[in-house]
Amino acid sequence: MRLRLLLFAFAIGLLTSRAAAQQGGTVAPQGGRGAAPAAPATYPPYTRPVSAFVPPRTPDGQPDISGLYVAIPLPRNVETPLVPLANRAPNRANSEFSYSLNERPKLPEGAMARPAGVDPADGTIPLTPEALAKRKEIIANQEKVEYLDGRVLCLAPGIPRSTIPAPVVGYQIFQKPGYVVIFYEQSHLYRTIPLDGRPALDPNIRKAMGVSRGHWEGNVLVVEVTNFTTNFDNNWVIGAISATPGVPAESLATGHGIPHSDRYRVTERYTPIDASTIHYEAKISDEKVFTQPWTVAWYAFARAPKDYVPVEYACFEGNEKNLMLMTNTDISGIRVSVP
Amino acid sequence: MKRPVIVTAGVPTILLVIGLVAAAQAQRGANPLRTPAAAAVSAYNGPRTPDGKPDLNGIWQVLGTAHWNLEAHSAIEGVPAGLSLVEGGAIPYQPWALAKRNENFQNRLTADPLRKCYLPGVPRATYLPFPFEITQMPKHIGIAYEFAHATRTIFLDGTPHLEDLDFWMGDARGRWDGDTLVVDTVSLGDQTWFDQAGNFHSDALRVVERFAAIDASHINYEVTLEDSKVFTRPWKISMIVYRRLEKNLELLDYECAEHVYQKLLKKPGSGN
Amino acid sequence: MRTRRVVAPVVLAATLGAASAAAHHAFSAEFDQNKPVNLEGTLTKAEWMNPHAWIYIDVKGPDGKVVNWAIEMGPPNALLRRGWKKSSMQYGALIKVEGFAAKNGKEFANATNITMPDGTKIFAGSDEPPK
Repeated sequence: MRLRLLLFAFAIGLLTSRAAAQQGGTVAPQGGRGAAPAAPATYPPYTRPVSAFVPPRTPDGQPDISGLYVAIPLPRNVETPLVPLANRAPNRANSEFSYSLNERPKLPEGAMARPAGVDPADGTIPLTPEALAKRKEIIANQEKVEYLDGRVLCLAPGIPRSTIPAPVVGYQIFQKPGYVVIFYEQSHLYRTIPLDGRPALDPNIRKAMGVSRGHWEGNVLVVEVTNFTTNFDNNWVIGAISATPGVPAESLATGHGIPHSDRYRVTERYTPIDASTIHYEAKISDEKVFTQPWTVAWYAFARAPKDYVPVEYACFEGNEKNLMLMTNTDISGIRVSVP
Repeated sequence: MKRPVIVTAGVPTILLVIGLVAAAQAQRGANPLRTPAAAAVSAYNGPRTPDGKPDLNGIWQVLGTAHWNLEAHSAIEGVPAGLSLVEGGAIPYQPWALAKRNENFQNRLTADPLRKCYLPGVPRATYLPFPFEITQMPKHIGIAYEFAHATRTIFLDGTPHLEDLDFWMGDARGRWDGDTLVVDTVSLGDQTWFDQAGNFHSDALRVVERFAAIDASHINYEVTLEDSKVFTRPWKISMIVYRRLEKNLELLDYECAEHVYQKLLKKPGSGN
Repeated sequence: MRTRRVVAPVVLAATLGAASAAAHHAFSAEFDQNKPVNLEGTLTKAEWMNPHAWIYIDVKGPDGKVVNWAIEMGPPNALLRRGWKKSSMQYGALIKVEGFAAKNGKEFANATNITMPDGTKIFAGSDEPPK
């Protein structure tokens, strides 16, 4: 019965996709408890934020964006699902001391709350048919370790996923002559972004966080990221919150289940909006996965409160029990050679 | 970066330098017979940051055998011989701890946490056979390690330690003592080793590192380790940290966790 | 083991899973919201590690047999920001746990609330779930 309802909704959805998406309640804002105000039926075309803010300068003349930051929660979902979920069973949130902090930063004044996917304008992810089929297979098999979300395996989430808000954790931006360096609190990841226009690396060099080459356009940091690792299909390009078991791929609003190919590359833009906020945009290209480049954007960084202390987040070391509980896999006996 | 200035020293200068160094070593209670040769230069003349400190920005790496074994050892299969990095030669274990260390050594292929891809801790991360990158700002110094993308942030902003906690890479607070960066690290837990030979510690460990800039490309790295649950007294190691001078070098990936999953899933190492 | 199978006394947030924004993994991948548990036991071990801190308690069953349960808590970062430290947990202390049992039927649970020996409830307060 439910399947027929879903198929019917899908048919209607093809005609009036956005209206259907709203009715399903699938654009509930993330990061807050309780009922959300209804999202608008349409969003205006995405335009990059324009800011009159002039940051101070570093000693070597870069706009100074250095400092400690926390993540601003996504105000809407990552994507508009192909098939809205009519009736999602309440998913008991993880315990109250898990990730819900009342002191989460808010969107800056005047900023629009919109889904993270801004181009294409209808909020869907422009996947090739092969990528969609693969997504369905991946999402349907999350209890198997070979399919499991790479971030849950404590593999590096890559770009742009490392900038997807995880409210408990933050970022530290360093600057030194010729470089911007970003430390990510979650899983102690980092990137060094040279600004001197040096070429990208040999295609045989692959990094989980890609190889970054940056430059300043006015006060906007633009970074080209290439040379991503492709050892695992578990390294999805994006994903907010966690893949909830039982929600099929077509009904996801979270971006999960999309691995990239060796053609994957990203162009990022970091725009300081004011002294406390940085807006983030990532244009994702991968001809084997997407039918057109896919652009995501959100207000990502808020200056950390004065007493904020970044805390080590060592993911892999503490993950064995979780892996056992999720996939019945025991990695505790595995040893690898190290130099 | 300015090219390091090469000073041609006359005999009186050399004698003065040796005298100053000996006095300094005596003051610090160090064994004067263990003076590392490169520490004979008493004044840093390399590049400085705008706030007047030695410029440690860049990629560095340690040579030598510390990561295999901090103590003196002859070669065994796959492991070169090495002199001791420990001042006085041997690590001053309490008797029970020495037995534990020897047991660790026997079991090192399974017991070494590094072989589970756990973070290396401090100071092991410094002398692993991988480069690391220092990013230096007046109030924060970030160190990024190629091994398992480990990081440390050293706070020089006067904020207090995070104590009564367990971190794999500890909690580090630093200050400049002249041209030496002094880093005090606590909250290191008890899960890491100092090397592949089973040298270990408890959660009482406190590590004080002195990064003494010698010149633009060398740091004299001296570390005092204190752990009253395991050792009979504090002890020191020292070694040279070398700047990696290749143009356009960057840290690459050693994503150890991937190797674990590749083994689990019996995927061939792709070489990527 | 001594567990009272009671209906969870609080109605937890029904915001489509959004409340645990960017959780490391889904609660429902490991635990069963239809299997609430109330456990009481003495603390034998505490592991302060990401992605989740774990405590272990010895729970005595009605048959007198003692079983060690592993209890999943939040990440240390979140715990720390609520004032939680290593010495907050004393070995041998009698701890009460309200939570949910693992899907796999073994002695694992996810904790919603922890009550310390002096009666303090950890993490109650302004973040109370809606009733």
